Amino acid sequence: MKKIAIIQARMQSTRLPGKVMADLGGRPMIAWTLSAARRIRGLDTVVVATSDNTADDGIATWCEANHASCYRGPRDDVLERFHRVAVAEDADVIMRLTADCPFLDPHICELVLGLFDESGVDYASNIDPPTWPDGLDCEVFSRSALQSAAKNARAPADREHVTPYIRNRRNLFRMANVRCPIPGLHRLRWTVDEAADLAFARDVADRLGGTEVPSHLEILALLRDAPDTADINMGIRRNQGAEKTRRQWPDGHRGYEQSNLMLERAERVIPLASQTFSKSHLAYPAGCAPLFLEGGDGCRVVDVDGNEYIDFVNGLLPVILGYSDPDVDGAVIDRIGKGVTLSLATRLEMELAELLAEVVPCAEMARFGKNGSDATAGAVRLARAYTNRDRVAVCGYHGWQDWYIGSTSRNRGVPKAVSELTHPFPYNDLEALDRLLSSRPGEFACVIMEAMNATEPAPGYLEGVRDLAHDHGALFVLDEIITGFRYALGGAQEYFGVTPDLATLGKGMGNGYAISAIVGRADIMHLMEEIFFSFTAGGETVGLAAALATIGKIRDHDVVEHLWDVGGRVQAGLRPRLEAHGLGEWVSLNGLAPWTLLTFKDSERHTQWQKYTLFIQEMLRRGILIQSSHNISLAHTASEADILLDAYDEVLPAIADAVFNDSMDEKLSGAPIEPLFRVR
Amino acid sequence: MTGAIAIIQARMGSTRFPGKSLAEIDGQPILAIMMDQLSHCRMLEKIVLAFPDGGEDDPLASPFVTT
Repeated sequence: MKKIAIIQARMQSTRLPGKVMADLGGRPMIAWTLSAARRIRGLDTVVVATSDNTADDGIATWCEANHASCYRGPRDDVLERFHRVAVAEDADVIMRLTADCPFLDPHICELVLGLFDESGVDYASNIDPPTWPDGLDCEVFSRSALQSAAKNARAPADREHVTPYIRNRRNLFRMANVRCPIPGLHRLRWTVDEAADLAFARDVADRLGGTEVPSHLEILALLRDAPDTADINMGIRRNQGAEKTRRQWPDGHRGYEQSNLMLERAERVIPLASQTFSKSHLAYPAGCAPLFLEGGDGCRVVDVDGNEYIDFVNGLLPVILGYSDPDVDGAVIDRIGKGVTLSLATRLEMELAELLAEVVPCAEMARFGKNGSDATAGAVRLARAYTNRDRVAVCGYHGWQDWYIGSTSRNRGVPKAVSELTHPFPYNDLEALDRLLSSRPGEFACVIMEAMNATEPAPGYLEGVRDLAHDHGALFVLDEIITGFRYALGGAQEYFGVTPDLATLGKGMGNGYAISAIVGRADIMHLMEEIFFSFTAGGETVGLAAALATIGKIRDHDVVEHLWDVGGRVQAGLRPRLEAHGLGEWVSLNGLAPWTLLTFKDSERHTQWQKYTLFIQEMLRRGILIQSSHNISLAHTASEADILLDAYDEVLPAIADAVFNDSMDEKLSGAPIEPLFRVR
Repeated sequence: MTGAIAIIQARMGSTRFPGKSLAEIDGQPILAIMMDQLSHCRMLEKIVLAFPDGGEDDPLASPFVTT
């Protein structure tokens, strides 16, 4: 079993040419990496792999002088370069290192190698998810995994960055990761991509004195004593190089064969083959869409066929920070080791209730659930108990429970007696609400509504609803499952300045971990002790820990401002594009920047559903996973907004052609999506 | 300077294996092997031994104590 490390190095970095030979404390940067790599126990040899371009002759010369084997290969197809080295060395196990990581820590590399050896995986690393400082990257993989990638990877980004092909195919390769035991270190940047990084590395090298191979703990200790040093290169984002190549080639599309096979298999044992209508095959064009995902990282997800997408669905909105956010996941992992569902209440419940009381205007007290429906059903029961009344006025979508879904067209299985107690009312129409409440005087327990989805409230409308509800002796409940922590930290009630009696929160407070909340006036909330709102997983600590970490991060890192900025960029870019393609009449963009909604309209020859289906189909082909809204997270940046707008530049002409030149049927690959039911 | 020290607790009077700290592996007492391993930890400023007072544990001190 031969194990080798391959250090990849080249002179032609776009951002910092010649960086690997740059002087760092009297030695070229590559010398630091090589010294560290040679300290890794368990390897048979360490070699350098550079390009066959003459620009890299200096690297080869330096290697010869320093007794390091140096291989030459393709400059951009680094994957092929690695594969040739592995073959030439007859290596069974390959460790990938890069010469722009001068502070590589051999002990961490030994952990990764040990994990690979002991767990029998095909690929082990310390970067997926990133928990260590950027610049300690170590990946170990089998010769056969490398061979498979070298043979099958087609996208230039997969070839340039060697391992994405393997990392994005969890269905083919078993993977393991060494997590950093110290939280928060993923924010540190010790790699060298830009001039500021080199300045940082030089400062650290000077402070290290003569240490030839520092440990990451020594550098951490040093940074603690020199806080200005760490600031030198803050603000540079992780792995921008990889993002750039992704943008040049978004697809490298592999079809949907696995998705379609899995649909058949899942349908045998799972009705709908999904737990959620909007995530099921019913929500996507038949046969030509991904139906199952392997995982997500930031704002990107990978499906079971290995296709990568920028995700603007975000799990139907709860993923507000991005997939596998290191802070939230770190808090959760920390919690898992202490017991998840305990036999008594925990301090987390109290801490989360205190946090909600601090940030949400109406919140004096809080109780917790798992889904939004838990919260809305609890709020309605609470209102009914408080008012001793049965009827409920609704506007928006409020979840799957009998009390609400009975009022929609998808009401099979809900007793008529229950459905009849729920009365929808139109948005922005105070008179209609007044008529409804007056039609059954003294019978309405509450008015529950989304403060806003597509349409902005008319001036005074929300205040008017609140006053009407109160005039009729009913409670005013805002369903802030979506708007909470998104329009503003304190939700729509903070953004519009209208405080409800009760509010429900959910999506956005746990970054995808199961958590929801009812918050509101203390005198009403106290009645929770009289009604029955009580279930096994109510105090489950993973969701609570996730919520504490998520809300804390939203508050402390200006996340709401970011959602407005990035969503605003999409909004400002898309509106003129819709007009430019003459689609303004058939496709409209509404809502506020953090959550803008697309509405497709029927035209004479084509239904809104045909247009919507073509839109989804074409976006998927361009590596965008999207439904009828732009769900922005912290992980989406201006760069992803621009990629989305680039995709629109190609998709909108296709829709326009389908509509104006009557080419819809030839463009649609399958039957149009059927409406589930419409609430917005 | 981390200000961190390691304290190795040791005693002769183990009920299951009396005197185990000084049992030898390849000619070296276990305690000495352990101290040698620990000396590779760069973040420690000092390694000290702590053992009960009273004559029984005195043999532990003899090979190491330098102060």
